[in-house]
Amino acid sequence: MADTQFTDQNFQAEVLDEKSVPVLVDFWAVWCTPCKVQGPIIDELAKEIGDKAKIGKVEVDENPATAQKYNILSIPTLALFKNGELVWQGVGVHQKPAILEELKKHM
Amino acid sequence: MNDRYDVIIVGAGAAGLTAALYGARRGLRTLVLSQDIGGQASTTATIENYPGIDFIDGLDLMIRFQHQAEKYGAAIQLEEVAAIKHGVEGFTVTSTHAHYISSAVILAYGLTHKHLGVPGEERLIGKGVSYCATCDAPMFKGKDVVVIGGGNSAMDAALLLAKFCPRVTIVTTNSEFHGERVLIERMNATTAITQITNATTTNILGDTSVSGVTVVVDKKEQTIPVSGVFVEIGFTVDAKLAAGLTAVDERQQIIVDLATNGTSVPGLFAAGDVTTIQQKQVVISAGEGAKAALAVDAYLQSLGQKPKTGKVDWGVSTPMHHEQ
Repeated sequence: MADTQFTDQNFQAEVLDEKSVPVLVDFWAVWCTPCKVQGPIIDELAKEIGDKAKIGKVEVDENPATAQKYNILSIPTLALFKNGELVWQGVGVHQKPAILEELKKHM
Repeated sequence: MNDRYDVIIVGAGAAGLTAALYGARRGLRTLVLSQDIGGQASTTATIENYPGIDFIDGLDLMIRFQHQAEKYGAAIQLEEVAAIKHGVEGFTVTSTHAHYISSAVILAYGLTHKHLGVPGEERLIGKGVSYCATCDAPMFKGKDVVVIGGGNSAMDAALLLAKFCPRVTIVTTNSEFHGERVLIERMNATTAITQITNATTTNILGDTSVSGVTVVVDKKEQTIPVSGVFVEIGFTVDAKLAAGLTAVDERQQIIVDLATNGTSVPGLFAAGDVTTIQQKQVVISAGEGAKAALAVDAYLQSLGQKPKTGKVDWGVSTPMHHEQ
Protein backbone atom coordinates (compact mmCIF):
# COMPACT_ATOMS: atom_id res chain seq x y z
CA MET A 1 0.00 0.00 0.00
CA ALA A 2 2.70 2.41 1.02
CA ASP A 3 4.31 2.52 -2.39
CA THR A 4 1.16 3.26 -4.37
CA GLN A 5 1.91 5.91 -6.98
CA PHE A 6 -0.91 7.80 -8.64
CA THR A 7 -0.23 9.37 -12.03
CA ASP A 8 -1.94 11.62 -14.55
CA GLN A 9 -2.83 8.39 -16.38
CA ASN A 10 -4.31 6.38 -13.50
CA PHE A 11 -5.71 9.16 -11.29
CA GLN A 12 -9.25 8.81 -12.64
CA ALA A 13 -9.36 5.04 -12.20
CA GLU A 14 -7.39 4.77 -8.93
CA VAL A 15 -8.63 7.84 -7.07
CA LEU A 16 -11.78 9.35 -8.55
CA ASP A 17 -13.50 6.09 -9.46
CA GLU A 18 -12.73 4.49 -6.09
CA LYS A 19 -16.13 4.18 -4.43
CA SER A 20 -15.57 1.78 -1.53
CA VAL A 21 -12.94 3.56 0.59
CA PRO A 22 -11.56 7.11 0.99
CA VAL A 23 -8.36 7.89 -0.91
CA LEU A 24 -5.55 9.95 0.61
CA VAL A 25 -3.13 11.55 -1.85
CA ASP A 26 0.28 12.94 -0.91
CA PHE A 27 1.46 15.48 -3.51
CA TRP A 28 5.26 15.61 -3.41
CA ALA A 29 8.42 16.16 -5.45
CA VAL A 30 11.98 14.89 -5.34
CA TRP A 31 13.46 18.35 -4.63
CA CYS A 32 11.07 19.15 -1.77
CA THR A 33 12.72 18.81 1.65
CA PRO A 34 9.57 18.89 3.83
CA CYS A 35 8.22 16.09 1.62
CA LYS A 36 11.04 13.89 2.90
CA VAL A 37 9.52 14.30 6.35
CA GLN A 38 5.94 13.74 5.18
CA GLY A 39 6.75 10.67 3.07
CA PRO A 40 7.66 8.26 5.89
CA ILE A 41 4.62 9.39 7.92
CA ILE A 42 2.39 8.52 4.96
CA ASP A 43 4.15 5.15 4.52
CA GLU A 44 3.63 4.30 8.17
CA LEU A 45 0.00 5.37 8.04
CA ALA A 46 -0.61 3.26 4.95
CA LYS A 47 0.81 0.21 6.70
CA GLU A 48 -1.35 0.81 9.76
CA ILE A 49 -4.60 1.49 8.01
CA GLY A 50 -4.49 -1.56 5.74
CA ASP A 51 -7.43 -1.70 3.33
CA LYS A 52 -9.72 0.69 5.23
CA ALA A 53 -8.41 3.48 3.01
CA LYS A 54 -6.34 3.78 -0.12
CA ILE A 55 -3.17 5.82 0.31
CA GLY A 56 -0.80 6.90 -2.41
CA LYS A 57 1.46 9.61 -3.79
CA VAL A 58 1.58 11.94 -6.77
CA GLU A 59 4.98 13.22 -7.92
CA VAL A 60 4.02 16.71 -9.15
CA ASP A 61 6.80 17.17 -11.72
CA GLU A 62 5.94 13.93 -13.49
CA ASN A 63 2.19 14.47 -13.20
CA PRO A 64 1.62 18.17 -13.87
CA ALA A 65 -1.98 17.77 -15.08
CA THR A 66 -3.20 16.34 -11.76
CA ALA A 67 -1.19 18.86 -9.72
CA GLN A 68 -2.61 21.70 -11.79
CA LYS A 69 -6.18 20.41 -11.65
CA TYR A 70 -6.12 20.48 -7.86
CA ASN A 71 -4.23 23.77 -7.78
CA ILE A 72 -1.24 22.40 -5.87
CA LEU A 73 1.12 25.35 -5.30
CA SER A 74 2.89 24.25 -2.12
CA ILE A 75 4.10 20.80 -1.28
CA PRO A 76 3.63 18.62 0.55
CA THR A 77 -0.11 18.96 0.13
CA LEU A 78 -2.39 16.17 1.27
CA ALA A 79 -5.76 15.68 -0.38
CA LEU A 80 -8.55 13.35 0.66
CA PHE A 81 -11.08 12.04 -1.84
CA LYS A 82 -14.36 10.26 -1.17
CA ASN A 83 -16.55 9.00 -4.01
CA GLY A 84 -14.49 11.00 -6.47
CA GLU A 85 -14.89 14.25 -4.59
CA LEU A 86 -12.23 16.28 -2.83
CA VAL A 87 -13.35 16.38 0.82
CA TRP A 88 -10.24 17.79 2.53
CA GLN A 89 -6.95 19.39 1.62
CA GLY A 90 -4.06 20.26 3.93
CA VAL A 91 -0.88 22.15 3.08
CA GLY A 92 2.44 21.43 4.80
CA VAL A 93 3.72 18.47 6.82
CA HIS A 94 0.92 16.74 8.71
CA GLN A 95 1.44 14.35 11.60
CA LYS A 96 -0.23 10.97 11.79
CA PRO A 97 -2.89 11.87 14.39
CA ALA A 98 -4.02 14.89 12.35
CA ILE A 99 -4.30 12.85 9.15
CA LEU A 100 -6.08 10.01 10.95
CA GLU A 101 -8.62 12.46 12.32
CA GLU A 102 -9.50 13.59 8.81
CA LEU A 103 -9.54 10.03 7.47
CA LYS A 104 -11.84 8.77 10.24
CA LYS A 105 -14.49 11.32 9.28
CA HIS A 106 -14.81 9.51 5.98
CA MET A 107 -14.14 5.86 6.82
CA MET B 1 -0.09 7.38 28.30
CA ASN B 2 1.17 8.65 31.65
CA ASP B 3 4.84 7.64 31.76
CA ARG B 4 7.03 9.97 33.73
CA TYR B 5 10.04 11.36 31.92
CA ASP B 6 13.09 13.05 33.42
CA VAL B 7 12.98 15.64 30.68
CA ILE B 8 10.63 16.55 27.84
CA ILE B 9 12.12 18.60 25.04
CA VAL B 10 9.72 20.65 22.95
CA GLY B 11 11.07 21.04 19.42
CA ALA B 12 13.40 18.94 17.27
CA GLY B 13 15.69 21.47 15.62
CA ALA B 14 19.41 21.78 16.29
CA ALA B 15 18.86 22.82 19.94
CA GLY B 16 16.20 20.23 20.79
CA LEU B 17 17.96 17.29 19.15
CA THR B 18 21.31 18.13 20.74
CA ALA B 19 19.60 18.46 24.13
CA ALA B 20 18.09 15.02 23.48
CA LEU B 21 21.51 13.56 22.66
CA TYR B 22 23.09 14.95 25.82
CA GLY B 23 20.09 14.10 28.00
CA ALA B 24 19.95 10.52 26.75
CA ARG B 25 23.71 10.05 27.18
CA ARG B 26 23.35 11.18 30.78
CA GLY B 27 20.86 8.38 31.25
CA LEU B 28 17.88 10.72 31.52
CA ARG B 29 14.53 9.39 30.33
CA THR B 30 14.23 11.79 27.43
CA LEU B 31 11.22 12.52 25.24
CA VAL B 32 11.23 14.95 22.30
CA LEU B 33 7.89 16.26 21.06
CA SER B 34 7.88 18.25 17.84
CA GLN B 35 5.75 18.98 14.84
CA ASP B 36 8.70 18.40 12.54
CA ILE B 37 12.30 17.22 12.44
CA GLY B 38 15.04 19.75 11.99
CA GLY B 39 13.11 23.01 12.24
CA GLN B 40 14.45 25.91 10.20
CA ALA B 41 17.74 24.16 9.44
CA SER B 42 15.87 21.41 7.62
CA THR B 43 14.50 23.86 5.05
CA THR B 44 17.96 25.29 4.37
CA ALA B 45 19.23 23.96 1.07
CA THR B 46 22.89 23.78 2.08
CA ILE B 47 24.75 24.34 5.31
CA GLU B 48 28.42 25.22 4.88
CA ASN B 49 29.30 26.53 8.33
CA TYR B 50 28.74 23.57 10.62
CA PRO B 51 32.26 22.76 11.82
CA GLY B 52 33.69 19.50 10.56
CA ILE B 53 31.20 19.28 7.70
CA ASP B 54 32.12 21.15 4.52
CA PHE B 55 28.81 21.00 2.78
CA ILE B 56 25.53 19.31 3.66
CA ASP B 57 21.82 19.49 2.89
CA GLY B 58 20.08 21.01 5.96
CA LEU B 59 17.61 18.15 6.37
CA ASP B 60 20.37 15.53 6.03
CA LEU B 61 22.32 17.18 8.85
CA MET B 62 19.23 17.30 11.05
CA ILE B 63 18.42 13.63 10.37
CA ARG B 64 21.95 12.81 11.53
CA PHE B 65 21.23 14.75 14.74
CA GLN B 66 18.01 12.76 15.13
CA HIS B 67 19.60 9.35 14.62
CA GLN B 68 22.43 10.14 17.00
CA ALA B 69 19.98 11.13 19.76
CA GLU B 70 17.85 8.03 19.13
CA LYS B 71 20.92 5.81 19.24
CA TYR B 72 21.37 6.74 22.91
CA GLY B 73 17.74 6.14 23.77
CA ALA B 74 15.94 9.45 23.30
CA ALA B 75 12.32 8.98 22.16
CA ILE B 76 11.33 11.40 19.39
CA GLN B 77 7.65 11.74 18.58
CA LEU B 78 6.07 13.90 15.89
CA GLU B 79 3.35 15.51 17.96
CA GLU B 80 2.61 19.17 18.28
CA VAL B 81 2.63 20.45 21.86
CA ALA B 82 -0.54 22.34 22.72
CA ALA B 83 0.05 23.28 26.37
CA ILE B 84 2.55 23.01 29.22
CA LYS B 85 1.51 23.20 32.87
CA HIS B 86 3.73 23.47 35.91
CA GLY B 87 2.63 21.98 39.22
CA VAL B 88 3.97 20.32 42.38
CA GLU B 89 4.49 17.04 40.55
CA GLY B 90 6.59 18.69 37.85
CA PHE B 91 5.37 19.44 34.34
CA THR B 92 2.39 18.20 32.37
CA VAL B 93 2.93 18.52 28.65
CA THR B 94 -0.16 18.11 26.50
CA SER B 95 0.27 17.29 22.84
CA THR B 96 -2.25 16.80 20.08
CA HIS B 97 -2.03 13.13 21.03
CA ALA B 98 -1.58 12.64 24.81
CA HIS B 99 -0.50 14.02 28.20
CA TYR B 100 3.06 13.48 29.38
CA ILE B 101 4.59 14.10 32.81
CA SER B 102 8.19 15.11 33.45
CA SER B 103 10.49 16.54 36.10
CA ALA B 104 12.00 19.08 33.71
CA VAL B 105 11.19 20.66 30.37
CA ILE B 106 13.44 22.23 27.73
CA LEU B 107 11.70 24.64 25.35
CA ALA B 108 13.47 24.52 21.99
CA TYR B 109 10.72 25.18 19.49
CA GLY B 110 12.57 27.86 17.57
CA LEU B 111 11.14 30.52 15.34
CA THR B 112 8.32 30.68 12.84
CA HIS B 113 7.95 32.77 9.69
CA LYS B 114 6.57 36.24 10.21
CA HIS B 115 3.30 36.87 8.43
CA LEU B 116 2.39 40.13 6.68
CA GLY B 117 -1.01 40.37 8.29
CA VAL B 118 -2.82 41.62 5.19
CA PRO B 119 -6.19 40.48 3.82
CA GLY B 120 -5.98 37.35 1.69
CA GLU B 121 -2.73 36.10 3.21
CA GLU B 122 -3.95 33.37 5.59
CA ARG B 123 -6.70 32.26 3.20
CA LEU B 124 -4.28 31.74 0.29
CA ILE B 125 -1.44 29.92 2.11
CA GLY B 126 -0.57 26.99 -0.10
CA LYS B 127 -2.63 28.57 -2.87
CA GLY B 128 0.12 30.90 -4.01
CA VAL B 129 1.20 32.38 -0.69
CA SER B 130 4.45 30.75 0.46
CA TYR B 131 7.00 31.32 3.22
CA CYS B 132 9.61 28.99 1.78
CA ALA B 133 11.11 29.75 -1.63
CA THR B 134 13.48 26.77 -1.48
CA CYS B 135 10.44 24.54 -0.92
CA ASP B 136 8.01 25.95 -3.46
CA ALA B 137 9.94 27.82 -6.17
CA PRO B 138 9.77 25.02 -8.79
CA MET B 139 5.95 24.96 -8.46
CA PHE B 140 5.88 28.42 -10.06
CA LYS B 141 7.82 27.54 -13.20
CA GLY B 142 6.78 29.90 -16.02
CA LYS B 143 4.65 32.05 -13.72
CA ASP B 144 5.13 35.61 -12.47
CA VAL B 145 5.72 36.01 -8.74
CA VAL B 146 6.37 38.67 -6.14
CA VAL B 147 8.74 38.50 -3.19
CA ILE B 148 7.93 40.65 -0.16
CA GLY B 149 10.91 41.68 1.94
CA GLY B 150 14.08 43.74 1.86
CA GLY B 151 16.76 41.56 3.45
CA ASN B 152 19.02 38.64 2.63
CA SER B 153 16.31 35.98 2.72
CA ALA B 154 14.09 38.02 0.37
CA MET B 155 16.96 38.56 -2.07
CA ASP B 156 17.91 34.87 -1.86
CA ALA B 157 14.32 33.96 -2.67
CA ALA B 158 14.14 36.39 -5.60
CA LEU B 159 17.38 35.06 -7.09
CA LEU B 160 16.19 31.48 -6.76
CA LEU B 161 12.76 32.28 -8.23
CA ALA B 162 14.38 34.09 -11.18
CA LYS B 163 15.65 30.68 -12.33
CA PHE B 164 12.07 29.48 -12.77
CA CYS B 165 9.92 32.56 -13.35
CA PRO B 166 9.90 35.00 -16.27
CA ARG B 167 9.28 37.97 -13.98
CA VAL B 168 10.06 38.34 -10.30
CA THR B 169 9.09 41.55 -8.51
CA ILE B 170 10.74 42.20 -5.16
CA VAL B 171 8.98 44.67 -2.90
CA THR B 172 10.34 46.34 0.24
CA THR B 173 8.97 48.97 2.58
CA ASN B 174 12.50 50.37 2.94
CA SER B 175 14.17 52.90 0.64
CA GLU B 176 16.79 50.32 -0.37
CA PHE B 177 17.66 46.64 0.06
CA HIS B 178 19.76 45.72 3.07
CA GLY B 179 22.06 42.74 3.27
CA GLU B 180 25.07 41.08 1.75
CA ARG B 181 26.63 43.16 -1.01
CA VAL B 182 27.10 40.11 -3.22
CA LEU B 183 23.35 39.41 -3.16
CA ILE B 184 22.45 43.03 -4.01
CA GLU B 185 24.90 43.00 -6.93
CA ARG B 186 23.60 39.66 -8.18
CA MET B 187 20.05 40.96 -7.96
CA ASN B 188 20.90 44.17 -9.84
CA ALA B 189 22.44 42.05 -12.59
CA THR B 190 19.39 39.80 -12.97
CA THR B 191 17.07 41.18 -15.65
CA ALA B 192 14.11 39.03 -14.59
CA ILE B 193 13.99 40.84 -11.23
CA THR B 194 12.12 44.14 -10.88
CA GLN B 195 12.77 46.04 -7.65
CA ILE B 196 10.18 48.26 -5.94
CA THR B 197 11.20 50.23 -2.85
CA ASN B 198 9.18 52.33 -0.37
CA ALA B 199 6.25 50.06 -1.08
CA THR B 200 3.70 48.76 1.42
CA THR B 201 1.85 45.59 0.56
CA THR B 202 -1.82 46.03 1.46
CA ASN B 203 -3.69 43.12 -0.05
CA ILE B 204 -3.21 39.66 -1.54
CA LEU B 205 -5.79 39.06 -4.20
CA GLY B 206 -7.31 35.86 -5.49
CA ASP B 207 -10.31 33.62 -5.22
CA THR B 208 -9.14 30.00 -5.10
CA SER B 209 -5.52 30.92 -5.79
CA VAL B 210 -3.38 34.06 -5.85
CA SER B 211 -4.04 36.40 -8.79
CA GLY B 212 -2.14 39.48 -7.63
CA VAL B 213 -0.96 41.80 -4.88
CA THR B 214 -1.79 45.38 -4.14
CA VAL B 215 1.07 47.66 -3.12
CA VAL B 216 1.06 51.33 -2.21
CA VAL B 217 3.98 53.50 -3.39
CA ASP B 218 3.88 57.27 -2.75
CA LYS B 219 0.24 57.00 -1.67
CA LYS B 220 -0.59 55.52 -5.07
CA GLU B 221 -2.06 52.05 -5.15
CA GLN B 222 -1.05 49.57 -7.84
CA THR B 223 -1.90 45.96 -8.49
CA ILE B 224 0.78 43.54 -9.64
CA PRO B 225 -0.70 40.47 -11.32
CA VAL B 226 1.14 37.38 -10.02
CA SER B 227 0.49 33.69 -9.30
CA GLY B 228 2.76 33.53 -6.29
CA VAL B 229 3.58 35.66 -3.26
CA PHE B 230 6.70 34.76 -1.30
CA VAL B 231 6.71 36.41 2.12
CA GLU B 232 10.29 36.79 3.37
CA ILE B 233 10.09 39.38 6.13
CA GLY B 234 11.92 37.48 8.83
CA PHE B 235 11.11 35.29 11.78
CA THR B 236 9.22 35.59 15.02
CA VAL B 237 8.61 33.55 18.16
CA ASP B 238 5.30 31.76 18.49
CA ALA B 239 4.22 33.15 21.86
CA LYS B 240 1.43 30.80 22.83
CA LEU B 241 3.41 28.04 24.60
CA ALA B 242 5.46 30.32 26.83
CA ALA B 243 2.58 32.71 27.56
CA GLY B 244 1.81 32.71 31.26
CA LEU B 245 4.42 30.03 31.89
CA THR B 246 7.66 31.97 32.01
CA ALA B 247 9.15 35.41 31.40
CA VAL B 248 9.63 36.58 27.80
CA ASP B 249 11.09 39.78 26.33
CA GLU B 250 9.28 42.30 24.12
CA ARG B 251 9.89 40.08 21.09
CA GLN B 252 8.35 37.09 22.92
CA GLN B 253 11.77 35.44 23.18
CA ILE B 254 12.15 33.34 26.32
CA ILE B 255 14.48 34.99 28.83
CA VAL B 256 17.17 32.56 29.94
CA ASP B 257 20.12 32.63 32.28
CA LEU B 258 22.99 32.54 29.80
CA ALA B 259 25.07 30.23 32.01
CA THR B 260 22.43 27.58 32.76
CA ASN B 261 19.67 28.10 30.17
CA GLY B 262 17.26 28.21 33.13
CA THR B 263 14.10 30.33 32.96
CA SER B 264 12.15 32.03 35.72
CA VAL B 265 10.52 28.66 36.55
CA PRO B 266 12.57 25.96 38.37
CA GLY B 267 12.93 22.90 36.14
CA LEU B 268 11.99 24.82 33.01
CA PHE B 269 14.85 25.44 30.60
CA ALA B 270 15.03 26.87 27.08
CA ALA B 271 17.58 26.67 24.28
CA GLY B 272 18.29 27.94 20.81
CA ASP B 273 16.46 30.45 18.61
CA VAL B 274 13.43 30.64 20.91
CA THR B 275 15.57 32.26 23.63
CA THR B 276 17.13 35.70 24.06
CA ILE B 277 20.42 34.38 22.69
CA GLN B 278 21.30 36.74 19.83
CA GLN B 279 22.88 34.47 17.25
CA LYS B 280 20.46 32.26 15.37
CA GLN B 281 22.91 29.67 14.06
CA VAL B 282 22.85 25.87 13.90
CA VAL B 283 26.16 25.44 15.73
CA ILE B 284 25.13 27.87 18.46
CA SER B 285 21.72 26.25 18.92
CA ALA B 286 23.41 22.86 19.17
CA GLY B 287 25.72 24.18 21.89
CA GLU B 288 22.82 25.79 23.74
CA GLY B 289 20.88 22.52 23.60
CA ALA B 290 23.82 20.67 25.11
CA LYS B 291 24.12 23.29 27.88
CA ALA B 292 20.42 23.01 28.69
CA ALA B 293 20.51 19.21 28.93
CA LEU B 294 23.54 19.28 31.24
CA ALA B 295 21.79 21.93 33.36
CA VAL B 296 18.73 19.65 33.58
CA ASP B 297 21.01 16.86 34.76
CA ALA B 298 22.45 19.14 37.46
CA TYR B 299 18.92 20.24 38.42
CA LEU B 300 17.75 16.63 38.86
CA GLN B 301 20.84 15.96 40.99
CA SER B 302 19.96 18.95 43.17
CA LEU B 303 16.49 17.45 43.67
CA GLY B 304 18.17 14.24 44.79
CA GLN B 305 16.79 12.36 41.80
CA LYS B 306 20.25 11.55 40.47
CA PRO B 307 23.70 10.86 41.98
CA LYS B 308 25.97 13.91 41.99
CA THR B 309 28.74 14.55 39.47
CA GLY B 310 31.84 16.62 40.27
CA LYS B 311 31.98 20.40 40.48
CA VAL B 312 32.97 20.89 36.85
CA ASP B 313 30.78 19.13 34.35
CA TRP B 314 33.15 17.48 31.87
CA GLY B 315 30.31 16.18 29.77
CA VAL B 316 31.10 12.46 30.12
CA SER B 317 28.14 10.15 29.97
CA THR B 318 28.73 8.32 33.26
CA PRO B 319 29.99 10.19 36.34
CA MET B 320 32.19 7.21 37.32
CA HIS B 321 34.78 7.76 34.59
CA HIS B 322 36.02 11.26 35.22
CA GLU B 323 36.48 10.77 38.96
CA GLN B 324 39.59 8.67 38.21
